[in-house]
Amino acid sequence: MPAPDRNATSPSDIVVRLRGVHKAYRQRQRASGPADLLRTLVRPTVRTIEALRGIDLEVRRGEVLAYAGPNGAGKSTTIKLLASLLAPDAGEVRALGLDPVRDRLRYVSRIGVVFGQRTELWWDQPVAASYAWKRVVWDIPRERYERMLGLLTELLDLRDTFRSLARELSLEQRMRADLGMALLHEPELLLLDEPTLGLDVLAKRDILRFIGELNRERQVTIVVTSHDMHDLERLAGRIVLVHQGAIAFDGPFDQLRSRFGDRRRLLLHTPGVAPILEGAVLGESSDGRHEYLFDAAQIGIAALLDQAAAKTSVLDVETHRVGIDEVIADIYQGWQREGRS
Amino acid sequence: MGRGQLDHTLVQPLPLWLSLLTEGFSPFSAAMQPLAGLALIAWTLPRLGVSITPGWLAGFALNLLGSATVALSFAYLIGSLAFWAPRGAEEINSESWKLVEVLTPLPLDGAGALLTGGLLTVLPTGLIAWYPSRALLGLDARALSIYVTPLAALGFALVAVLVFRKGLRHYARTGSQRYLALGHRR
Repeated sequence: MPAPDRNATSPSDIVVRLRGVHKAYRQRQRASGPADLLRTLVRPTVRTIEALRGIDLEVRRGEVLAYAGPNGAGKSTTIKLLASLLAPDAGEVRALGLDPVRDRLRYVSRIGVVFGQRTELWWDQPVAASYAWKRVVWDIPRERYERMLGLLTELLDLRDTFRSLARELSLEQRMRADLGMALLHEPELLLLDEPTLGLDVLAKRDILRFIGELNRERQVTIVVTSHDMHDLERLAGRIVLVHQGAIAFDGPFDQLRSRFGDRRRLLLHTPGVAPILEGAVLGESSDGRHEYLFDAAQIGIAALLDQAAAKTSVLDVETHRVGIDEVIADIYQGWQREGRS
Repeated sequence: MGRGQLDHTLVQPLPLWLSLLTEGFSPFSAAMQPLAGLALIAWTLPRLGVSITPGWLAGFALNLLGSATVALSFAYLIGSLAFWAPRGAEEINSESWKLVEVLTPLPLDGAGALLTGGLLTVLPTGLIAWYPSRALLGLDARALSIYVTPLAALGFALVAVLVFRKGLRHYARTGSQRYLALGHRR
């Protein structure tokens, strides 16, 4: 992939900067019954939901940032703020040196946005027509357009979908076409909101591989949200976890694992019942195969095996690092418990 | 905007007014109605004894533009409700537009002052066809009648722009909570 011919900038450039960003939504509460109807008409009950509570965030040029959190944590609100679709109630949002809402025209010509559950393609038109429309509206020079079109057609395997109507495409084909369209004007910042939503394993792998290549070879800064932590870990070096509108963690995935414990899974094959191992929690156990969970930061594997060997004869051993999905699920669960207590 | 489709427009590097004015532009499929209307006018004018001078043609163009502006402004005013009431505005919008279609060809000669006044101000269908036609046919003796529709159009357009801008500011604060995931223009 040839490098884009844009003005050289230092790799340490800050592309996205959020400072003390607050965003609240007001929800009018509906009447609970006929008797309540008049009261809510005269004096409506309005519930304020704090979607973002003082978010401070910086993303450097060429970085892939995974932005994650449970439902309602504020992910989509942040993406909407960065996509110029929303203005903050307080605080500052700057991206590519611009205010996304005030400098909308200049800003959106330099970013690409892909919403997994929405398509920018013209629904009743062939993909080719959407691309041609994009060239005109974004005022992409013909030479640049042809170059990018050729490149994206090849990399995203768009040849077969080009003449099909957007509504006739499979989810994977649509996502490829959407990604291609978002990149036609060579954006400096790419916002991906759930780009792998609903895709099968193979399609997901290909899309992720493409996004990774895009970042490595063209230094495109990417902010990606997903519920699939495994996807995010494959794609991004850094993860920001948001919880109830605030940043709960910001750092590399490895740091996240270690901060919330280095959880491992130990599989023991022994004759008879599962031995009790101090420092490990027994999970499933059947036919002499026993699964334990333990925190490698608290107790070493050797110590656990010593315990096991002292209590029974160990026939086989396997250890696995717990998947990031489980780590995050545990974190979310912990937050839920804190919220209830 | 009631179904979040405005978001698609906002991520395009085009002024919003330009995107919205060209939205749904169908130069061929939608051209038959105005073409037939113009042919009908050309056929009837000599039979009504109207002398077509450059001044009359300028007045005709001005009133045609004014009439279209009144209709568009009214559509925008009602449509702007969707910023505050995304669901309810859909019904209000389609029903009010039906009302415009029904009332626009209605001749108001002989109607009472209240009805005529209402249909020239609150629901300005009288300014879309009836009043500009009277002015162009010379049926209104007042000297400046030819300018009434264009001036009223200016006023309606101004109100529509103000309300739409207020709605847009509201949209920037609240966004769209209601999205129809069927692609771009719906």
